[in-house]
Amino acid sequence: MRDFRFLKPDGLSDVLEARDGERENARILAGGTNLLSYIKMGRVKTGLLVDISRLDELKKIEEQDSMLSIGASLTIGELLESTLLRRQLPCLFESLKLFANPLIRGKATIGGNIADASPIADTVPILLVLEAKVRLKKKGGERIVELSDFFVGPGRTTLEDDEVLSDVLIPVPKEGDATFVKIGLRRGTVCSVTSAAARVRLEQGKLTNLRVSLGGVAPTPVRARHCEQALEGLTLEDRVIAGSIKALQKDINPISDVRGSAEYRRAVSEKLVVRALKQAAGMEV
Amino acid sequence: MKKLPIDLKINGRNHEILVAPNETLLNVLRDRFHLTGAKYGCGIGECGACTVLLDGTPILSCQMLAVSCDGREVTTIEGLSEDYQKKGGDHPMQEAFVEEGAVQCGFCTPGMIVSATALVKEQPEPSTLEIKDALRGNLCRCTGYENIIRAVKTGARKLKSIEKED
Repeated sequence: MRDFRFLKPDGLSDVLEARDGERENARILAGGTNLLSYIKMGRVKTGLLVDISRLDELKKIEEQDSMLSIGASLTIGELLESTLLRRQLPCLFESLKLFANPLIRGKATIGGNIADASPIADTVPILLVLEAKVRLKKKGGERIVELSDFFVGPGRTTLEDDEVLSDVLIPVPKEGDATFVKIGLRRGTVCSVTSAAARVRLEQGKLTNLRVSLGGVAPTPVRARHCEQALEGLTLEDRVIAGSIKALQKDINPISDVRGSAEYRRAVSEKLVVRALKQAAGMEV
Repeated sequence: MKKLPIDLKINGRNHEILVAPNETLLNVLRDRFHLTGAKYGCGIGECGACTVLLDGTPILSCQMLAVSCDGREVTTIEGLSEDYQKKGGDHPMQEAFVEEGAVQCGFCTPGMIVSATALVKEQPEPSTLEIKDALRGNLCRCTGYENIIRAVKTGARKLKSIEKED
């Protein structure tokens, strides 16, 4: 028997109260693009649906001390209308245009895309190279966690069952640029087979302060730290990086599924990272 | 399951109804109001056949809980054409789809037209790329998209000339 109840909270305190009392049974409903599918598939059979989609407290985007805070309930579509985001984090802004399609973008939220913890979440790779953090609130407290420490496995995070992801915190980069690229089976509505993001600064033509991340090649989106180390200080020329880019293989552990084989993902990861690096460095469009 | 009261404005008319917490907007529209223009396609937000306007924005009604729509306004394909049908015609975007042969089985068509009208409202003279971007969430498995893109352009022109007359 499926049994759902519904809560339209008046404020965030109602949400935290519900999580405190009902724990994981209080299911956070933001855009619903994932949760409603889980309900239809029977993966979620019961619970208190806590609708945070229209909660003003979670729909703010603001900058403080060179840190941008993006409310969890902001939809991808709303973020694409934010002049603050376009001005301060154009790389994130541009990457959101690759997210699903306009119908999904109108509902799916940035908090939901993160908290759902899909290995192919399309907002996550770029947030990882921007070294974003997430703020997790609970009744009477909060903590801030590095996004790279937030994911545990597919659909699993370090979010406790009395906590709510309230906002994403992103340091506004002073220099260097970042970019996000993805490979899908078509252009619209598509789940990434593999995705990558890179952030670079070129100093006398050499890669410095390199950040690389990938989606769809491990149980969680990953920072590719071996790859970052191997490429640091090199010039971004195909013949120079051809050997070092292989270090990336130590960062990933892809599986074969309906969208692509593990072998393909290993091969395409290197190509995607190079493409992302060149785009971020302004060498390719 | 305890049902909850909501106020819902559908195609210009106010309704007060009781809905289950897990009841989708699409099911309410189709099963209770017999507005069967919006279709149940994939049910998981991939095909766009269930597209309707919520407060003027195109959304997937199969991915929307009815209870979350309390106090909001829904426009379906039936609502779009209502005013024009009183005058004996159809919505200009509907006419354009027919004229350009952009309809084969018709299952995707209501969603296509709802998305297209929302686009044209924002961008009265959309380019091919803008049309492709706006329709990326609406899949057609019969005809290919060339006729559909042409229809949106034709529909946009028709709407513009109507506006001029007014």
